[in-house]
Amino acid sequence: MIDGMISALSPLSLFFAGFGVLLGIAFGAIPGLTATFGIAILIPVTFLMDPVHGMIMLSGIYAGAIYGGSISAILLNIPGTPASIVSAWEGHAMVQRGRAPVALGLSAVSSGIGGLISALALMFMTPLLAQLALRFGAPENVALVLLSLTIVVVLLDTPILANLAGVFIGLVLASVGLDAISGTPRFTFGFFELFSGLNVVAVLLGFFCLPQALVLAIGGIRRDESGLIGRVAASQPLSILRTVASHRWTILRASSIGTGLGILPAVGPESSPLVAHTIERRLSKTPEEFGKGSESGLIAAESSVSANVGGSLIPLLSLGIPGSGAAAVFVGALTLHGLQPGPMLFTNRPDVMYTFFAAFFIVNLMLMVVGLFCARYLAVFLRLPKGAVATFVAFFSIFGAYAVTSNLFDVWVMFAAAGLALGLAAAGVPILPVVLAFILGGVLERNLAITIARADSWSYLLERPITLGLVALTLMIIGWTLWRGLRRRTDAPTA
Amino acid sequence: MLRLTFCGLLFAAAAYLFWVATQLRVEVALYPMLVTGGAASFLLIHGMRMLRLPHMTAPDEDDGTAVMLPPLDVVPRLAGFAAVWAGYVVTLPKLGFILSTWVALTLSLALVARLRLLTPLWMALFVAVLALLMKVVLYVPVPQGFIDVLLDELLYRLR
Repeated sequence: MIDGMISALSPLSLFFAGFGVLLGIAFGAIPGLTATFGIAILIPVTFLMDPVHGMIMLSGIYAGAIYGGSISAILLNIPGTPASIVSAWEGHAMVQRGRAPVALGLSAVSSGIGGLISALALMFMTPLLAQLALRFGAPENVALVLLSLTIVVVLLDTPILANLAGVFIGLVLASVGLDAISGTPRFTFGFFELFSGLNVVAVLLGFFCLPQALVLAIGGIRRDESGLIGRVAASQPLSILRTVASHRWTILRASSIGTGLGILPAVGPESSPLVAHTIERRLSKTPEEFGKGSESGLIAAESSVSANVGGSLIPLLSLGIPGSGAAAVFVGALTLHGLQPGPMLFTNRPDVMYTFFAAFFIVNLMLMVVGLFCARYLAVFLRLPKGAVATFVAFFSIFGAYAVTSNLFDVWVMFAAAGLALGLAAAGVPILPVVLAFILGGVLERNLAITIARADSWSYLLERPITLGLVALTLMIIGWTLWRGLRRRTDAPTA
Repeated sequence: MLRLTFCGLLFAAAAYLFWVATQLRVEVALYPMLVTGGAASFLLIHGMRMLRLPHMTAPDEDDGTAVMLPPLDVVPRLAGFAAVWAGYVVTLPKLGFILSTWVALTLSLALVARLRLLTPLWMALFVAVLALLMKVVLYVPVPQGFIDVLLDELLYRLR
């Protein structure tokens, strides 16, 4: 841990952390660009870096983008990312009362503190979970993947059938390539470039970046630009810190909620602020102020959404299970550097892990400082024309997909993935189950094959308590979902 | 209607992949058949449910139907934007990185943003800086056209 801290404080690590935070804030502030997009498009850039510096930069982008969405949300009432919707309600109401500097300052500090709390959780919980995961064999891995996919199917707002369709589509994408046991090509259609499967980076760029470029292009063609903003005065740091200190229990509650929800695969940063805001309103002595510029409401939303970032990285680094869409894209970055997310990462590369933990702490500190003193200057990104952003997004997506293997075939894979993403959206099938199943599909199939090969009878599985526990949990979730569905049908008024 | 159409297309694709999976050897075919069969089944049920529940077929403002069903006045330029970038990938090996990137960026900006008089010049500068970055700092191999070769020769002479 101490070596990790020393390494994280090196000039290069600090540079990449700061660069990542600034870039992330810029991405998040521009409506239409998200944290997931920012990570996806910059993964190829990290290919040229040391793995730990690449991860530091990407975590800076992740944390920065989640906070950056608040800038346009507060100043223009246009959430820069879906996670900033609650910030728009409270923050923009404060702007309309002439309290823009206070809103931006509170947003920055509570984001930073929420992130710091989740960084602590990341630092201490991840190694513990990884220790547990080292006892996992093939049956445990199968049960864990099935549990994760079940959680995604059940907890997403979209219809369960659509979520299930998404999961199976993701598993189909993951099965492209040579069969792991027999070496038989599957769904390669004669393309030898597909023998090693679909390029993860190309698929993620196609899912998250190209469709967004098209949406931005539509905005650019229609000259649909953000409203102009005037000058914003500087925040008063001491006053902001005093206000945040007076809401310390709010921050603690909201950060715990954000971290806890971040660990669940289906609950991304979009849901945490809504949950935290709702709970805070219930506990508040002045609930009527919520939605009209409440400081508590803004602080709760901002700290929970930033805490969600660290929370989503906990299952990713310890178990190899991403806790959100953006964390799922992180897998692409780790894979690019030859790092397999999961418990073996602590065994094989503890230097990378502990440096990353320390750097994540530093990233959130930087976020707080940059946000507190520079948010009003970073608002300039809101003035970038959508058409120009669309052009550069398209270019960097294509170049990113090409640069990973210097092969134009991957660019066509990216185009196909973009087409699939648009088709899925048009069919009402959400993308998150597809991405999660695509990333976990290989793990599932390999471990399933090993389990089947080793299990000569049911006793092989019955003697494994962790597997039984995970299977029981999965069945409980399925049972609860079915019971809830049946209850809804019986409670609904009959025609 | 759009949702049903795309659901149908995805179902057809999944069903085709299921048929492809059945052509594999038995010991290899089981898992692919399971996942493609699952995808086809759930897409079919999802589509049938949309037929039964009309509100599910209504487009949502936040979903991909915004791109699949853009306003008519936007379609030509949007199609042009997509064609420019598809054409960029096709011409990249033939024209090289510098020329094809400059043409694609300029055309794209002309289609979806305001093209000012100096924009082609700024794009040329951007591409030149990027090409230098690729060659001198990052050592990323890019497709070579005649301008890229000229740049390589210039850099070689300068060293």
